[in-house]
Amino acid sequence: MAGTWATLTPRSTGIVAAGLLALLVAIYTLHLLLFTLGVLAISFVAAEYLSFSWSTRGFSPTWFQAERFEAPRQVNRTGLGTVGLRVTHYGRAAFYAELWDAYPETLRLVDGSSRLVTWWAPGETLTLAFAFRPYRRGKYSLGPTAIFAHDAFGFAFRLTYLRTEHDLTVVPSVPSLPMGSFAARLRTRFLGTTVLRRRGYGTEFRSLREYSPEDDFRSIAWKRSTRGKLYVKEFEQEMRQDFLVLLDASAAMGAGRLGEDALDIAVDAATVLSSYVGRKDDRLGLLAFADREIAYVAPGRGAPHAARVLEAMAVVNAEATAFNLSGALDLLAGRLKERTHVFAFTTVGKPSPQFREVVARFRARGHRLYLFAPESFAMYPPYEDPLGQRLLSLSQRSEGARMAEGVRAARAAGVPVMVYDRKGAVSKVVGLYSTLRTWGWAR
Amino acid sequence: MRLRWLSLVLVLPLFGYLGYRLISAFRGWDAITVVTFAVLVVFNVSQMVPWRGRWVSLSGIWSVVVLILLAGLSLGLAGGVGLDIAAAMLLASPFLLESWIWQGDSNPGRALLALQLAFLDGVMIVAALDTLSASGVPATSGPLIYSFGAVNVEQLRGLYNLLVGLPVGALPLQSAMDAAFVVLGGVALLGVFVPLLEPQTGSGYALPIGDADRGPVTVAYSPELEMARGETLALLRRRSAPRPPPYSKLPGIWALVASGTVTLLFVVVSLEWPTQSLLPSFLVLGGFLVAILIMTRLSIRVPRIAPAPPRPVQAPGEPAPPVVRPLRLV
Repeated sequence: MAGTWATLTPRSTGIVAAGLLALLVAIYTLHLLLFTLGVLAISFVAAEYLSFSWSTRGFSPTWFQAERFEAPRQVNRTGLGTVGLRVTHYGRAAFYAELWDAYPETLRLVDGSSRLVTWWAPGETLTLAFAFRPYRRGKYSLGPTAIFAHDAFGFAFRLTYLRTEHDLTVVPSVPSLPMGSFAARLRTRFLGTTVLRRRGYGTEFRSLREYSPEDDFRSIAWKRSTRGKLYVKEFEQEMRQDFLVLLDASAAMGAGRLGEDALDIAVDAATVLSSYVGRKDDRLGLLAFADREIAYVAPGRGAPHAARVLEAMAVVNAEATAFNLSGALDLLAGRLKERTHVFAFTTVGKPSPQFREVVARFRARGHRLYLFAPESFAMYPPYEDPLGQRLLSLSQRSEGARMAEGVRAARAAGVPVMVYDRKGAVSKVVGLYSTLRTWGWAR
Repeated sequence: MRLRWLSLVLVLPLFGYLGYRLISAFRGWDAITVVTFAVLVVFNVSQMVPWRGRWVSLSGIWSVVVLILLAGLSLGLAGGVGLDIAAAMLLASPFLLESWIWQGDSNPGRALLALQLAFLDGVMIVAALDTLSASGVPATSGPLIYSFGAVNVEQLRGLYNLLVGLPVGALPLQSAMDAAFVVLGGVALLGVFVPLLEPQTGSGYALPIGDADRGPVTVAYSPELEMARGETLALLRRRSAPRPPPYSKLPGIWALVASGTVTLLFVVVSLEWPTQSLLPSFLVLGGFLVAILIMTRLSIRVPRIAPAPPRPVQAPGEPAPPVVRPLRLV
């Protein structure tokens, strides 16, 4: 029965109500014109409703066949995507159709239309097409497609959905270097073009030298050392190095506007890093972590691996939990086989009491940690409203003090900390990467 | 817009004729009555113009404010002045209802309601004036208001007699019509129905009816597409255009024919057997109340604009995607 009757609209129920009232008034006045008004209003709506319900009986998704075309599975965040949808009507009746192809609000329609209102006869095919730009990286689904069947006078309608869902991943794009970052541009210009043999982390023996307190305890050459004099082995720095992006996926990284929050900016910078790492044939890995592991891609090289890292970064979202940096480092210390430079993008909160020991353990395995900390209070554009700006300033003060404490603690543990704001972290990441490529270490 | 103009042209004569009947039959015009009547009528009629601005749109509220003030004034003022104001308000009341017809652009039920109430109001005032004229009492403010109440009491008494089978005396509201009034009323009824015939969705979105409605689909591309590949433009050019129905299959024509036939039959039966027309009216009234109840119950089962259950897009172990609204109605 449910498929037999169309749904009445407020327009038709309003007319029927007016018609019924007209009959009541007519009975009071016994006036023919009012009787006529009531009868005409009610019979018109009733006839149209019954006629529409009858002609479109059985209206369901089985009446239609839908097919998507020229709809990519993956779109660059700053790129342009297109969607085509072809729907053929195999039902029994013609009707006024309204087609809606649903798309997520994180896509901005730039041309074409996801909607069409037209007369639709059986056997005819309608085509929807539109171009969009994504606001934010992530994994989304296009569709379903809604088809409304309207009667001619807006008295009734039917609605059905076609399962036209289409998975779409918006991957982060490589942002261009900001204007003014001349040093970074210069460094990246010549990055890796000069191959120098130099000291650093590696496996190829170079020479012996006297021990100094900052040397790794494990590189002491015990056989050549004497009781009063210790020697350490020096190695050639290997040209291929391992890098890993550690993304803090806690709630604090959600600071900022949609598509431009601290995590998005971190992902942008990490994307730049991945492109440079790919160019130099280094290995890159990823760990997204909050209070638990969210995504992990072991360091690797090659285009398919880079795509895997990008796809993993595309779907990382700030979760409603806190970040456990010590836990992340312990996890990495157990998983990373080679000495790795870890670029951690995290809001520096109050570190745990064991932070120093954890960092020391991490470094003892030959890994190096670099923190990129977003100024979460600087992730919002200034308010035009003075009151809002005052409130923002108040929150900035306490947040700034909290962050300064965290940065101090991290630096005290010997971890380099680089702070970034709304303008991004790309130049800082590129600068650090080129320094590491050139010298093998960075302060 | 053209249909709106046509509607205006069809409805106005009824109120013009009604205004003429009221103004010519009322004998109590003095400065207070004239000013009050003119203010109310001008305010209300000004709302009918299709290009009315924002200040005129406020006049609906103004009318109510003015009416309340005048009602308070007429109650507070003793003797003639209060009665004059009340009489002027009564004479102007059909025009207030007339203006409501034009505020029901998106709600035709409201327009129909306003028309029938305006018609009822007009009939009652004309009946009151006719009664005064027949009894030889001058139709000034006080007698008009008294007579307005008296004709309604008389009508109710007549209906009661009709129902209980007693001899029916005069039914003043039934007789308060002449041929011109009925004809113009029919024309006004058509005028209110004309905008209904414009194809549109329930939310008032115009549906294509002629080739003129065929929207341009490949004319203005967004500047953001300048750098796009040629394939993007080619894809967008493949979009379907809105298409009207063929003239051989005008949608809704059967509903028009059927409702026209039913109404015509009703009018014929009513003219031939006036008393029997009540029975079908009651039947229609009761029948449709029951039908609406049934259909409303059935309609609940019809899926409304609820989204289809979202298909999971993430693989097991992957974080859930952000919440996405299923429909973006732009």
